[in-house]
Amino acid sequence: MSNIFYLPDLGEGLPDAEICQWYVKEGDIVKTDDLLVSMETAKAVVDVPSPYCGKIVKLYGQASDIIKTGAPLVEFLVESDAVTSGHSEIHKDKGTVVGSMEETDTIITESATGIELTKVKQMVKALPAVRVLARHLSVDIGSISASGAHGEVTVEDVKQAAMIGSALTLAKTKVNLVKQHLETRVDQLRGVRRSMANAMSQSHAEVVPVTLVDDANISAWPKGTDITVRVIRALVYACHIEPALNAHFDQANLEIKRHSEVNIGIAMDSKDGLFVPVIKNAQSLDGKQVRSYIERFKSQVADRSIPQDDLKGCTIQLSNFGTFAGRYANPIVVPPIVAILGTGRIRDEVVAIEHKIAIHRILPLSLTIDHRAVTGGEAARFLAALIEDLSKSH
Amino acid sequence: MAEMTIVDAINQALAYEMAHDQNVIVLGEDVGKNGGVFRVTAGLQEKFGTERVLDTPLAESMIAGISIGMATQGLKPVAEFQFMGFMYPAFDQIVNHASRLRNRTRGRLTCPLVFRAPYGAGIHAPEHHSESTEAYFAHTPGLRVVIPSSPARAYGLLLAAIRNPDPVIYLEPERIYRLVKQEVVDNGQALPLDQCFVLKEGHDVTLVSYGASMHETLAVAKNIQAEGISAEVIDVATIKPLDIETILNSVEKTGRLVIIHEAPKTCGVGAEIAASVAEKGLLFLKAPIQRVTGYDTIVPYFKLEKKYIPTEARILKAIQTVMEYV
Repeated sequence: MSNIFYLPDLGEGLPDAEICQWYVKEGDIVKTDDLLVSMETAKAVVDVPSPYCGKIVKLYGQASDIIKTGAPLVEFLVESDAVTSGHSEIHKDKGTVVGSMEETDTIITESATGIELTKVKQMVKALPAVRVLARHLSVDIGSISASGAHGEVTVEDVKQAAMIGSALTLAKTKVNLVKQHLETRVDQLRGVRRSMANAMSQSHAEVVPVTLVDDANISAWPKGTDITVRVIRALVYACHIEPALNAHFDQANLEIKRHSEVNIGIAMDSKDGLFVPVIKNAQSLDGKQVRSYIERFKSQVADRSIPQDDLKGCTIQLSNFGTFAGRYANPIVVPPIVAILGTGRIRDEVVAIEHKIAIHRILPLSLTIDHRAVTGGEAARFLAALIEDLSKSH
Repeated sequence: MAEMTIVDAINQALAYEMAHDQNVIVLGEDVGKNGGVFRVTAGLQEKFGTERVLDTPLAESMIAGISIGMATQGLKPVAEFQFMGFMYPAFDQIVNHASRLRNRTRGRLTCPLVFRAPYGAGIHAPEHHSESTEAYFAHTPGLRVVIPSSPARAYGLLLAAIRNPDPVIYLEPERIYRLVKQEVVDNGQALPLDQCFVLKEGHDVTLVSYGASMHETLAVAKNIQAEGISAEVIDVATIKPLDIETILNSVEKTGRLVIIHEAPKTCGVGAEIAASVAEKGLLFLKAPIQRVTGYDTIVPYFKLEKKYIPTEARILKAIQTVMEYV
C-alpha cells in the first residue's frame, strides 16, 4: 500500500526547506526512524527520519530543491496498513505552531464579571490554636463570648467555658477507668436545672446548716403502710411539738416568722430536674388526701403541667432520697425555710432490744436546720418527736 | 453577539480598540502577514495596514525596547511575545525600563503598553513553550499582571489593559485558548482591573485560582456540590495588584482556603495569597491554607505533562484535607 510522506514543519512556522542531501535512494528498504534526508531550513540543518517501515518508491526532489512544508517528500510502499497519526493533520490548520491544542465546542455561560455576593456571614474570630483547644475541650466555640482585643475568642475564654461545663458533668479522668462508653457533653443550664444551680449557690452562701441524723424503728408498721403518708404525718406532729422548724427566716430584717399551717414541700425528681411541689395545710389533711396530692403532683411533674401555685408557699421540706439509695445525708436548706428532713433507704438492721439481738426495720432520718434561726435543742426535740410518731404502729 | 473562544475574543478586542484608538499599534513576530502562530492577530494587518500591525525581526529585547519607546511618544503598543518563555531576553527592558518610566520621570511620562504572551503548559510542546512564570513580573513593582480565564474576561480585561496608562503583562492561558466558547458582546466595554471575580458562591471552602487552572477548579467545585460541599470559587484575574479584600471576605465566610495554580510552588503567586491571608485573616481560618500547584521542576514533556498540571484529583485531595478541620 502506497503512502506519501509530506514534509512536516521542521521548525516553528517554517514555510519550506531546501534538500541538502539524500541518505536513501529509490528502491531502498528502510525501517522506521532511519534517516531519509537532511534539509536546510531558515533556522538549521535538520535530519528527517523515516516515519514508516517500507520500500522507497519515489523521491520528490533532488539536492538544492526547495520543498514547501506540507508538500510530498517521499513515497513509500508499506507492508502493513499502519499509517502514522500525524499524516493527515499537516494539511489542516491546527491553529498552533507547536504541539497540539485541545479544541471543543463547549459553550460556557458564566458571567464575565462573576456574581454579586450577598452579605458575609459572621464567623467566630479565633486563632487556629484556640479553635483546636476548644475542640479538644469539647466546647462549642460559637457559644463562647469573646473577650479578645480584636473581638476574638481567647484561650482564657475557652478554658472558662470548659470549666463551667465540666463542673456540672462527670469528670473525664474518673470515667476513663471504667470501660464503658460514656458521653461527655456540656449542657447549657436552663429552666429547672438553672434554678436549682442558683438556689443551691444562694443557700450555700447564706445558710448555716447543721444536720442531725438518727433512725426510726418502724418494725411496728403493718404491712402495706403508706410510708410517705406516715412520714408526713410525723412531720406535722413534730411541727406541732417544735414549731421553730416550721418557719421562715428573713436575714435582712433578722426576723423569724412561725407559720400556723404546715406546707410540706416534697422533693420530686424528673428528667428535667428537681421539682418541689407543696402540700398545703398538711396539718388538716387525712392520709387519703395526702396520698392523692402526692399522686397528682407526681403525674404533673412528669408531664411538666404542675401549676406554679403548687410550687410556692413551702414552710418545711421533705426529701425521700431513700427510694433509690442512701442512708444519711445533709440535705440542703433553701431559704427562707429553716428545716428539711431527708429519709433514707429502709433496711433491716441488727438492733439491741432489752439486751437481746433482734432484727428490726429501720428508717434513717437526716434533719438539716439553719442554725441562724434554729437551735440545736429545737432540732433535737423535733427529731425526737419525729421518731416518736414514726415508731407507732399507726 | 457571538460565541467565541479566547483566541477570538482577544482578536475582537484588538480589532475594536485599533478601530477606536489610532494610537494602538500591534507588533510582534509573525503577527501581521501570518496572523500570529495561534491566529490571535488574524485579519488585523489586512484591516489596519502595515503601519499599525508590524512584523518584527526575531529579537524579543528589541520588541520590548521599541514598544517602550513608542509608549513614551504617545502611542499604545500591544506587543506580542510568541511564548512566555521567549520573554526573558526582553526582561531587562521590561523590568529596568517599562516598569520604571513613571517613577523615573516623576509621572511626566507613563508607559501605556501591553505585553501579551501565551503562557502555561498543556499543549504537548517542546521546551520553553510551557512557562508559567508570572511570579517574576508580579514581583516587579511598576508592572501590572493580568491573566484571563474565559473568553468574556479575555475581551474585557485586554481592553482595560490597553487603556491603562501603565505597563500590563497580559498572559494568555494557551491550554484553554480554544477549549471553551462563550458569548462575548463586542461593545468595547472593559472589565475592571485590580479586582477578583467570584464565579461561584459557597460557604464551606474558598477556591482561588487563575488562568487555565480555573477550568479544573470549576469542574471540581461542581462535582463536590453533589457531595454536599459548597465551594466559593474566585478568579484572581489581576495577579498584581492583588485584590486581597475579596479573598479575605470569602475566607471570613468559609474559614478554609485552597489556592490552585500551574506555576511552581516555591515563591509562586499562591505563596503571596497565602501569606496575605495568614496575615490579615488568621482569626477566620479553621484549617491550614492549601496550595495545589505545579512542582518545583522544569515543566516536563508530553508524557508527564498531565501529571505536572494540577489535576482535579489533586485539587479534590486538598479540599478534603481542609474539610477535615471542623
